[in-house]
Amino acid sequence: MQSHDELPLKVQATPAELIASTAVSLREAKDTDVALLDILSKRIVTLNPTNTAVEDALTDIEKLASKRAEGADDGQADNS
Amino acid sequence: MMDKPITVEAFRLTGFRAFLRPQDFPLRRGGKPLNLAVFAPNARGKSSLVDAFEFYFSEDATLQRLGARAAERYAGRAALEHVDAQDKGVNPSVHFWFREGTESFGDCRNVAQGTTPLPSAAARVLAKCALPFVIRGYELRRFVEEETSERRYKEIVAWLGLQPLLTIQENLKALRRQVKKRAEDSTARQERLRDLARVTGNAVTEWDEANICAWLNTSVISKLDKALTLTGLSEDSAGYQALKERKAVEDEKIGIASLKRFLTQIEDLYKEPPNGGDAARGAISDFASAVTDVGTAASRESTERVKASQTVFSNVWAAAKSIFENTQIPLEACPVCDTQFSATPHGSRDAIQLTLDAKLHGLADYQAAETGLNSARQALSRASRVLTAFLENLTSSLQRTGYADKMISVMAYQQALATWKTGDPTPDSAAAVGELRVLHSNISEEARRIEQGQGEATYAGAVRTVDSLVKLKRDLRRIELTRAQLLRLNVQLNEQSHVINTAFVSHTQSLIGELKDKVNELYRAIQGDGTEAPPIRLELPGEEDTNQQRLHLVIDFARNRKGVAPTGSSATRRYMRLR
Repeated sequence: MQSHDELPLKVQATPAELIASTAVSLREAKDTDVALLDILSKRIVTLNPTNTAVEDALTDIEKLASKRAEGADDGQADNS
Repeated sequence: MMDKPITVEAFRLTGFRAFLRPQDFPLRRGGKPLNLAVFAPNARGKSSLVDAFEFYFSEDATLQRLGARAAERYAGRAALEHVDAQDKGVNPSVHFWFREGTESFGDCRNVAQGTTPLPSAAARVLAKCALPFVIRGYELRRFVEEETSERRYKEIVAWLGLQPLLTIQENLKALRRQVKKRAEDSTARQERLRDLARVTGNAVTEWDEANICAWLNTSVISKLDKALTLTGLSEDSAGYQALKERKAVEDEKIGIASLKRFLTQIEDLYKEPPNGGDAARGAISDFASAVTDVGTAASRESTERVKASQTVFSNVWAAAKSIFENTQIPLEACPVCDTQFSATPHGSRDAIQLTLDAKLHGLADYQAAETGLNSARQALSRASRVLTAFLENLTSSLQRTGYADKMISVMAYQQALATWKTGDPTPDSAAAVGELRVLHSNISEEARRIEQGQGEATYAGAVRTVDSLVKLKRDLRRIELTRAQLLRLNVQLNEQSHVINTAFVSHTQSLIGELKDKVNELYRAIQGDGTEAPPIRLELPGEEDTNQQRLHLVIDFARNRKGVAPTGSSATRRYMRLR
């Protein structure tokens, strides 16, 4: 018969560790939109998301789009 | 994952199912746990061993296939005990012994007429089990043949304790769907185009600035001055500036301008909170707030002054601090008065240092409070000057227009303010504010009446129309820019989601791989040496499917039999295969 001692358990990352390391990898990656990543990390990619996580993240993303649109608008000359 | 796996050391069946006399099954040899495979002809008690496990770990001390525990006759003692147990005086029971690390534990569960409580050892083991303790063949078949691939993925993720990752994947999927929907939504733009049609009387229904200017010149401005034209929708354009100048002249001519100046003077003193907000604005409110702020700051300054009066030795302490803090300098007594530290109320060098530090911190608080009081007094002085000036402006206008006699409370408030000095209660402004509200309402109504009496062809009307179109242009531009940004964010969201999903699926695959290795080891051990047992394959879908949260699988125990087809279909899917 086979002994269990010959089948050592590998040490696997916990979900919390995996979430943290994935966020770090994304943050360090070139071309990552950090502001968007901040929203995802705060609302979605977390161990304990709220019941309104998706709605809250959507609101945050819309605000971010609006803020960037404002910046783009200010940065462009009025062509009228 | 368990740090210390729990193993079954042994179990004993007594008067249970096929076993009348106590029968022990040791599962540990030479200090090491063993795996157990049971081979025997029919009717020799193989099922009794499995039943012993199920009975021992079941909540209601029965077997699922026997039915509900309440049906005593079928699911109770009669169904579980050996047929001769009662005649032979054997008390039927199942006993398990376990090991967790170096600790052994276990207890016995009797087969009784009524329900017996779950043994504490069983509860301890179950608490560490992600999967049901007994997996029945028909349940496995249901899992393979009836569950959707998405549901299988969810179950496996839950078994591996990865529910938080699944929640993240599901939320990401929902978010991507909603962001995409929002980015493609054209409702806001359509609403603005409806506004455009309304303003232009349906003459222009799509945004085209040249067409809109042509409509303005033809239908609005030419009725006032055929020589005046608008070439673009901008507040900076020459045509718009000319319109504004004509409107100002028009306002003066009909008396609107003076009424609006009057309104501004009233609003300088008191303005209703916007949209039901919680604070009124204007010099009267600012003055009242400044008086309150000075009171608060004075109170804090007074409190901190009392505390600070106890820190008169701050300069002395500042000089002595370096000596106290330098532990290299031996010091048992005060360097000034030679009093032994142990004889002081504080009792030690460290305690004295802590006390003096706290007192110096109190001095800093006093300085901050004093600065705050000075700032509050200056703000009050400014507020008082502004209020006085605004009141003078208004009363002057009131006297000019003959309204002064009707503004008794405003005049009284002005007089009270003239004699007010710091420390006095704030002059009551309620009655004055009431009069200002009524006056503002009356003048606004008068201005509206005059404007309406002018008819359509006025410069005021033309400016209003151009203003609404300029605002529409700005709104539409903002909507387009926001939509473009949202589309860019949607692309980024998809990319980041892909990275996250790939990492999670890879992690899940790693755990499944570990499970696969152990099952294969076990399988080889059961098959015996020299047998080439086909290895089990457990695989998640390929990368192209990682966002679908699916796990397709076929389980087939026979080498030459065709596999059981899973539900769902996909040309690219891969299978979890048990051969």
